[in-house]
Amino acid sequence: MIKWIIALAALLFAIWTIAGCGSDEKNRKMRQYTSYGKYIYQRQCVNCHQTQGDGYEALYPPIAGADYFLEDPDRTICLIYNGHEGGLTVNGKDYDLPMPDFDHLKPDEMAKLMTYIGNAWGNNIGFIDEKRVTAALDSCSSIEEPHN
Amino acid sequence: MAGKARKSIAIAGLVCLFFSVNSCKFGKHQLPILGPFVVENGDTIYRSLPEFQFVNQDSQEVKRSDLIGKVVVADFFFISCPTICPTMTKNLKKVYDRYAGKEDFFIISHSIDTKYDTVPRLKAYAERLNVATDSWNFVTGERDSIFGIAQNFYMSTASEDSDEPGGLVHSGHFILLDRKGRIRGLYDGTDDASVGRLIADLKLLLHD
Repeated sequence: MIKWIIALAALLFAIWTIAGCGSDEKNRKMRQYTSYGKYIYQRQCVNCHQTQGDGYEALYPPIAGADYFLEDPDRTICLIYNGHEGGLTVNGKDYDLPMPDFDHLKPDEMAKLMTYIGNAWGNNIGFIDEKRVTAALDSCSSIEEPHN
Repeated sequence: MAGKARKSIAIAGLVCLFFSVNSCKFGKHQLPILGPFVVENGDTIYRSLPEFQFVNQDSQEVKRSDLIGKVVVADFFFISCPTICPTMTKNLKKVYDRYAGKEDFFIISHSIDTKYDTVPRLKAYAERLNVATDSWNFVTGERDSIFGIAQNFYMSTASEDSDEPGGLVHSGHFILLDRKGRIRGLYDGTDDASVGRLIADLKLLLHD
C-alpha cells in the first residue's frame, strides 16, 4: 500500500515538474519575444502609434484595444508587412493616412513585434510565432480587403 | 584672517554688483538674430524672409506679406512620413494649443512631398489634427521653390533620398521668425526640452 502511494506521489511529482518546465519554457519565450518586439516597436512604430499604443489624434489609429487588430490579427500581419492605402476603420473611427510597408522585417521579427503589440496595453491575443506569420503572409491578398 | 575674509566678501560683493548692473543695462533676455547678414554703412542688415508663393489647405495663396508682422514658426514635413514628422507634428500641436487664436501668431508647415500632398490631402490632415487655418497653414507649391526656401533661407534641408523611408529627407527643425521675417531661433522639433524653449521664446517675441 505504502509502495503504491510513493509511486503515485513520484508520478505526480514527475508530471508537475515536466508541466512546470513546459510552462516555464513558454514564459521564457513569451518574455524573449515581447522584449525584442518592444525594441522593434520603439524603433519602427512608436512615432505614429505612440508609446502607449493609443495612436495620435485622428491621424494615427490606436493599436491598444483596437477592434481592427484584435478581431483578426492575421490581417494586421499583412497590413504591417505590405503597408496599406485607402483607409480603415478602428473602433468606429476612420483613418486615411497611408501605412508604410515594413517588408524588411523577417518572419521572426514580425512574430516578436506581433507578440509585443498583441499583449501590451491590455491587449491579450497570446503568443504569435513565425509559423503563424508565414501562414498569414501566404494568404494576404484574400485578407486585405478594404475594411468597412 | 578676518581681514582676508572681509576682502573676499568685498570682492564677491563687487562681482555681484557688476552682474546686476550689467543685467540692468541689457534689460530682459533677448533672442539673437540668426542667419546671414551684411554690414552696410556701419549698419548690420540681417537676411529677411524672401518673396515666395505657396498655396494653403484652403487653396488660398500664401505670400511673404502674409507672414510679415506676425511671429511665425516654420517647419518642413510630409504627410506620409513615417519617421520624425509625427513627433514634430505632435510637438508643434503643443505650441499651437498654447498660442492659437492670437492674432499675430502663425505656423507655416511646408510639405516637401509635392506629388502626394495635394491641397485636399493637406486639408484632411489639418482637419484630422483639429487645427484652424487662421493660425496654422499647411502649404504646397513648386517643388524647387520649397526645397529652395528650405535651404537658402530657413537653414533647413529638404531633398529626395530613395534610401530614406518615405523617399524624402528633411531636417526636423522648427524655425522661429520675428515680425520682420528674421530668424530668431532654431529648435529640434523632436526634442521636448527644445520645444519647451520655443514656447518660452515665442512668448518673448509675442510681447515685443
